[in-house]
Amino acid sequence: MSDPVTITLNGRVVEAAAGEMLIAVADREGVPIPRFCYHPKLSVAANCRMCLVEVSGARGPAPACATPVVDGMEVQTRSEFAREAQRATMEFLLINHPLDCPICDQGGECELQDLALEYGSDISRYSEARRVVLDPDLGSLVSTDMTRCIHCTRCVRFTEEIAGEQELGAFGRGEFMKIGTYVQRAMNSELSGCVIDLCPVGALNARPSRMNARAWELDDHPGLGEHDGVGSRLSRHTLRGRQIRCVPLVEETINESWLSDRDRFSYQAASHPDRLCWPLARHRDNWVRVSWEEALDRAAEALTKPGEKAGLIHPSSTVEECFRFQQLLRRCGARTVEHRARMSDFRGGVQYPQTPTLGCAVDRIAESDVIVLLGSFLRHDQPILNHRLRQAANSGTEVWIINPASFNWNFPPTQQAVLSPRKWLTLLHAMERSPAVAGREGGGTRFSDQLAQRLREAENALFWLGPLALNHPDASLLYASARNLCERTGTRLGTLPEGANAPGAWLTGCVAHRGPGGMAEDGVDLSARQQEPPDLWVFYGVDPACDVADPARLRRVLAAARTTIGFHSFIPDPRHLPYDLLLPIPTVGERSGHLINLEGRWQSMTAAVPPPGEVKDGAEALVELLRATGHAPGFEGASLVAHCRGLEGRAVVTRKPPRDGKRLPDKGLLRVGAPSIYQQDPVSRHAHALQQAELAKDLVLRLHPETLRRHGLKNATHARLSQDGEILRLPLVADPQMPRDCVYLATGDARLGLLGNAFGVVDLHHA
Amino acid sequence: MSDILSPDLCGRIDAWLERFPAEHRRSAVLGALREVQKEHGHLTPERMDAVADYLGLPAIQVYEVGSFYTGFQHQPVGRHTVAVCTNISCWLRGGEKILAHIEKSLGIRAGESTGDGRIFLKSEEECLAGCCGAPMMQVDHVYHEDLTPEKVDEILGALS
Repeated sequence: MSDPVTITLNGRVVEAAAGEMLIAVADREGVPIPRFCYHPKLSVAANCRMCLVEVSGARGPAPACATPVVDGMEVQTRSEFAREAQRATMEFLLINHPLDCPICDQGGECELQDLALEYGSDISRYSEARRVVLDPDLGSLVSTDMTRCIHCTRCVRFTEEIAGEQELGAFGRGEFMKIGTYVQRAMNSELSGCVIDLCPVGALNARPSRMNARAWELDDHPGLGEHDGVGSRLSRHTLRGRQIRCVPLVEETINESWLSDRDRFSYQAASHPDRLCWPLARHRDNWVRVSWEEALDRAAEALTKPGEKAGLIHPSSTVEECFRFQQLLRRCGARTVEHRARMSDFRGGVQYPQTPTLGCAVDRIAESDVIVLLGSFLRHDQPILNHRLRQAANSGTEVWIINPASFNWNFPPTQQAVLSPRKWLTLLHAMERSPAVAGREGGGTRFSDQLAQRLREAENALFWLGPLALNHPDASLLYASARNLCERTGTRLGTLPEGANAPGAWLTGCVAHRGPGGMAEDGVDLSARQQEPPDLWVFYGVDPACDVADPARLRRVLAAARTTIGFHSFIPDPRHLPYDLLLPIPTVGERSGHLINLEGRWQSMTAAVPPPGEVKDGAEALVELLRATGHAPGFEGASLVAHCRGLEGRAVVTRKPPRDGKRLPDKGLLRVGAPSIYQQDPVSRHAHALQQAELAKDLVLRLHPETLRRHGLKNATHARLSQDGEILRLPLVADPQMPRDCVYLATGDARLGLLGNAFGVVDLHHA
Repeated sequence: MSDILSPDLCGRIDAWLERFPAEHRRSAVLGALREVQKEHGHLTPERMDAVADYLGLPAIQVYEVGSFYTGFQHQPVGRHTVAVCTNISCWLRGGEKILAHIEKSLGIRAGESTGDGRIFLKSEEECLAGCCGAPMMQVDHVYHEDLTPEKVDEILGALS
C-alpha cells in the first residue's frame, strides 16, 4: 500500500491509500455507489458512468471507479448533484433497454432492474425508435439476448484478462455498438460461464437453465465442485427438488469468484434419461428391477462366497464412501481396493506420501519463482488451478512445461518442451545429473541443464506431476526421480491426480498397498490382476469402459469373473460390461459428505436435492451391505469423520525406489493421451450441455506431418487406428509440434469403444 | 495468407510497426488495416485474420478496430472514394448542394458506388477540418476546396 490519505466521504472522515479508486474505498466503508461496468477483479473501463459522484472542487461529476483518492478529497455520493448525474445516466441506459423483465431470466436478480427502481424514472421521455440487436450464438452454455446489453464490457474484459483468450469484443460504435464475436463462433473457454455472473443485465444468461425458473423461486444450497482437486465453493439453485443451475460462491483462497464450466453445468447429469433410479439385477439377458432388500441379499451372498475379490472406486467419491467401500471389501477378503483406475504402474506403492498434495496452497501459487509442470494440460484437468497458474505466470513466475503435445495454453509458458513420454525419464535423469544439481561448475545449455539450474537457484520452486506422468507406464520411476531431483534442489513436489477427492481416497485406504491412514497393506494391484483375475468385481462410480487405463484388457479380465457388481448413477452401456447387479447411487448435488482437496483442505457438502427414485446415499448403502455380510460397520454418525481425520499423518513412507526397469515399449508408434475436459468422469459425460460445448467436440488423432508421411497418410483426412485388435476410424490433424514417435488421442471418450492402453503401441492405416 | 499479405504489403505494415515500441504491435493495427484496404479495396474477416496473424494479436481485437472506424469498408466499393463535407461551415457555403449535384450527375445516392466501379460516394462526412475553403470534399485523401458544380465535374471527370 502506498501512503495513507484521509478523505471525507459523505461527511465522514475515512482512511485510504493514495491512488486507490474512490469506489473501492466506498465499498470498503459500506457506502453504496451504483455501478455496472466496475468489477473489482477486472480492469477499470469507466464506460457505464453510473458511479458518478460529487467531488468538491471538480468541475463536473466524477466516475468513482476511475477517480483515485487524494488527501483531503471531499466526496458526496448522495447529494442532489450526484443523484441528478446518476439519474441522468440511468435515463440514457434505459433508452434502448427492452421492458422484457417478465420473460428475462435475470429478472429479480438484475443489477439494472435493482438500480432502475431507485434511479429510473416512472415514465420514459424517449419516443424515438429503439435499437434491436441480433443475438450471436455463443454455444451451448451461454445464451444471448443482446438487445438487453448496456455495453459495460465486463464480459469482454473477462475473456481477455481472466480467461486469457479474448473471445468477445465490442464492434461498431455509438448507437451501433454491439458485443459479440464478429464472426460466428462459439465460446471456447473452460471458464465461459463466468460471463453469466458478470453480466449485470439479462444479455448473457445460462443457456441450459434458460426460462426454467424465476430467480426468486429458487432455493440455494452451498456445495462444492465435484470434478477436480480444487474443491471450488459453489451454490446449487433448486426448485421443488430439481437442480436448476449452479453459481460460484466467493472464496478468495480457492476459486475467488470464478467457477469452471464443468463444475457449473455438470448438474444436468442428474436429470439424464439414463439415470439408474433403482436396483437392477440380471435375469438371463434382461435387467429386472429388484427391491433394495433383494439387491443387498444378492450382493451379500456374492461377497461372502470365497474367492478373489477386487473393488474400484472413483476418486471423486466422498471420504465416507471411500472409507466404507474399502471397509466392506477388505472385511469380505478383497486384496485389491483401488481408486487410481487410470494408473498402470503400481510399483513402489509405499514410496508415495500419505496423501497427494499440490505442495502449496491454491492462493499462494503465485509466490513461487519457478513452477514445472510435467504431463498435464491443466486448463482441462483443473481449470481453476490453471487460472492460478496463469495469474502466477503473469506476475513473473517462470512456468516450465513438459508435455507430449503442445496444448493451447492461455498464457505464454517460459519454456515448453514437447517431448515423447519415452524421453521423460531420460530428461529427469539428465536433470539429476546436471552440473547445477551435482554441484559441479558450468551451466550447460540443454533444456535439462537450464531447468535444473533454475530449480537450484530459485528460492521457491514447485514441481508438479500431472495425470499424464502419474498414469505413465513408468510412473513410479518418474516419481522416484522427480522426488530425488526436488530434494536435491530444494523444490517442493506436488502431484495433480484426477478426481475431487484423491487425497480422501488415499487417506481412507482405497489403494492396493495401503490401508486406512496409509498403513502398509498386503494387497494385489490392478496390473497384477491380469494374471490373477478375481472372481468378484465391485465398481463404484468408475466406468470400466472409459475411466480405466486399458478398457480392452480389463474387459478380458472381467470375462473371467463370476460376479460383477456396479454402484452407479447411470445405466452403463451393456455392450461393455455384463453386470450382475446394479445399485443406484447419487450424483452431483445429491451427495452429502466430505471431500479433501489437493491442499489437504477438508470441506463438507450436503445434498441440495433428494436423489431420484430409490437411489440411496452411497455410504449408507455400503453400511447396510456391511451388516448384510455379517460385519459391524462401527463409527456411527460423526465419529467416522473424526476417525478419518485422526488418520492424517500416520503413514509410513519408504524411500525404496522400484527395482525393475522401464516398461514403456521402446519401438512403434506410441499412443498417448489424457481425457479431455468433459470426458474425465461419468458425470461430465452425462451432462448434456457440456457434451454439446465446443471443447467436447474434437476427437482427433494428432501427429507430426512427417509421421503422417511415413504412414502414407500425407494428404489423408482420416485414418484407421488399430490397437490390440480394435480398429477405429478417426479424423487426422497434422501438428508439427508433435513428437515424431507419438500420436495424441484423448481418452475417456465413449466414442473410443474398448480401445486398449492409453500409452500403448498402435498402428495407423488408410481409412 | 500469402495471397492476402503480399511481400510489398508486409513491408508497408512493417513500416507502421517501426513507429511503435517493439512490444506494442497492437498499435500498428490501424495502419495495417489501412494498408490492407488500400491494396484490396475493402476489409473482410479473412483479411483482418491475416492482419491479426501478422501482428500476433487475437483476431477479435482487429475486428474491433476494423468495425469502429467508418473509414474502413466491409463491402466492395468503387475505386475512388469521394467524401463531401456537409458540416456547418460547408453547409453554410452550399455543401449540401454540392452533394446533391454529385448524386445527380453520377446517378447514385450517398453511400453507393457507381455501376462501373469507378467512384464510391461516402455516406456522410463530418467536418474534415477544411473550413477555410468551404465547401470542400476529399477525393482519395486529397482535399479539394472552394467547390462549384463545374469544378466538381472537372475533378470527378478526371478520375479513371
